[in-house]
Amino acid sequence: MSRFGLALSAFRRHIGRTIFTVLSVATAFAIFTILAAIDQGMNGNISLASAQRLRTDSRISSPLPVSYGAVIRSITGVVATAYLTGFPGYFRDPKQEVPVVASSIPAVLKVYPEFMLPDDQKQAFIHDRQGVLVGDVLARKYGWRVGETIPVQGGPPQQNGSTTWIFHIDGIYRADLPLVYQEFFLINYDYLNEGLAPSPRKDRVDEIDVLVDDPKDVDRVARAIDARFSNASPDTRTESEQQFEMNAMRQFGDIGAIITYVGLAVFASMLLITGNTMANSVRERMAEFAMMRALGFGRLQLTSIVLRESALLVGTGAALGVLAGWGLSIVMAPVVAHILIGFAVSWVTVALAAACALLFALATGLLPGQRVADMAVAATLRRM
Amino acid sequence: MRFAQSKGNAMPGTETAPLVRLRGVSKTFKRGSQRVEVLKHLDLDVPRGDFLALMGPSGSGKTTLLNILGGIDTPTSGEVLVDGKQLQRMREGALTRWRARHVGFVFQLYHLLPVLTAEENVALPLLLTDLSAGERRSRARAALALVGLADRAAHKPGELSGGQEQRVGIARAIVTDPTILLCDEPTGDLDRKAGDEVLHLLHLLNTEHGKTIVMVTHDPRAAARAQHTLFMDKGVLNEEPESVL
Repeated sequence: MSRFGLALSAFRRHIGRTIFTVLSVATAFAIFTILAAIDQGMNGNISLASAQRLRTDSRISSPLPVSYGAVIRSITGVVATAYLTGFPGYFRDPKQEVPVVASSIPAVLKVYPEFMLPDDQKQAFIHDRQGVLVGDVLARKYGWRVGETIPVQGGPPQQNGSTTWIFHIDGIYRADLPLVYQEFFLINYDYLNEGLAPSPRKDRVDEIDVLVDDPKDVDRVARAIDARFSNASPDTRTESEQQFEMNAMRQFGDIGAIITYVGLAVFASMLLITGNTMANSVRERMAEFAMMRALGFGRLQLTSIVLRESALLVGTGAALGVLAGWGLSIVMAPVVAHILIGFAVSWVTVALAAACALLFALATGLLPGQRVADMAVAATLRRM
Repeated sequence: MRFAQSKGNAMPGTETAPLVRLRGVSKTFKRGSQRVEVLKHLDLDVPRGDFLALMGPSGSGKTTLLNILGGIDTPTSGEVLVDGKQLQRMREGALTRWRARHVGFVFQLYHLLPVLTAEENVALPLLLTDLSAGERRSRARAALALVGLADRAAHKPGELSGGQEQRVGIARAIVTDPTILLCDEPTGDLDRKAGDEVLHLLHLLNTEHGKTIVMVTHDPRAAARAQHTLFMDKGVLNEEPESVL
């Protein structure tokens, strides 16, 4: 038996108490892990956003005329613009959603260089007005392959009255972008616009994405775009992609603060439970510690045994909790990935959990350890 | 000042310094605003190889004296020499290390760790040594064999009788081959048969292994197994019970 084994043996005395304490620690760390994954998901949206892209949309929530694109391209510092508009269609079954995004071809591939696909597929798409590029995640979801013809239902009425739109898959792209971008059903805006039955949406787009030549220039260009349309109808609101993501996240409220407060409350209750367990465990064994002091164990040695016990208790619970949180995050990911793009348990979270566990082990073990160290050996043995 | 001399079993004609030498040892406790003098200017010599029994009524200071000899309590005044070391001058860390090396404690209530096996309990003091796990196991088994419990090595204290538990306690006390064994009422919690076994074992450790033993006891039968008996009353050591004096 080693000193580690000695520390471990303490937990065999009250198995039930040990299990419940470990479970409470595990629960706290599982909640912490999930909250951290949510926080990372929120920040992921922002961190993955391009520093060179701007989004221009209408300040009054009405579509923008496509003619705005040419005006924006004339502003100094603008490299390219791409319209972005679309409709929520479905494939065969309304439950099989297809996020159709119509954009200017080939400009969109310049504005979004993150879209990666073989050159022959790219060329095929550029030259096929009825073509579509499908994100690899969406393609896998429905088992689509290049060359297939896909009917998308639920779209806006065409001139012939049909709401079913037919597209050819010219390419399947991969994108180092948030998951939502990996599920685009990217079609040619001109094809959509020309096929539309007369409607207020004709020749109009939801937003215009702008690629700026220098990240330092985005604020100036954004101001210049909005200044150019300040007297137009509708006037525009332009913001950087990063700013857009931050604003989008704020719509959920101050989740960062909520996460912090919930995390603190969970950890505080866990500390009280574990601290109480450690205090009781040590109080019950004061005679044994006194005996060990009599055998020649020093103050520091006994304090270190108590600290090892608290480290084992908190460490085991933390490890189980992080594992549970990680497993839960895998289950939750498909459900929340569209909202929280970077949602995942990162190594930073694991390292942070380990650091917290170490801190809590110290916090819950130091006072009982101090009590053991300060014990009057003879008096304790006399009382027992 | 009374002077108590325990003659020990030193070979005739050999003059050696006593293993334990106390001079003018006093111990005062504070209880509230009162000061209680538990030990009063004690002088005591215990020769190497002696088996000394300390008898006396409860509260007479026997256990306090034993604790001072073992370095887990300190005298208020006086000098305590054990094997040439002046305990009252040692720093706590040094005293703790000295205790690990030179003192074996046997307690009335055994104080075995209930979650450890007999062998693990016996090996506990060896965690303070540089011995390997294998060596620690081997020594613990040897100590258990010496107390007649080799076949109970894997048993936990709850699976042993009181007498067996105390023998495990004795094995734990001797496993480091200490210079002196300090036994505080080792038979106080045992029935007569188990007590006799424990006393027999202590007698063997003294006579066959040369262990110096100081034993606190209330039991005259236990004291009769020792080579010498001193009587303590109101913090003073006597060679005869107070009632006889």
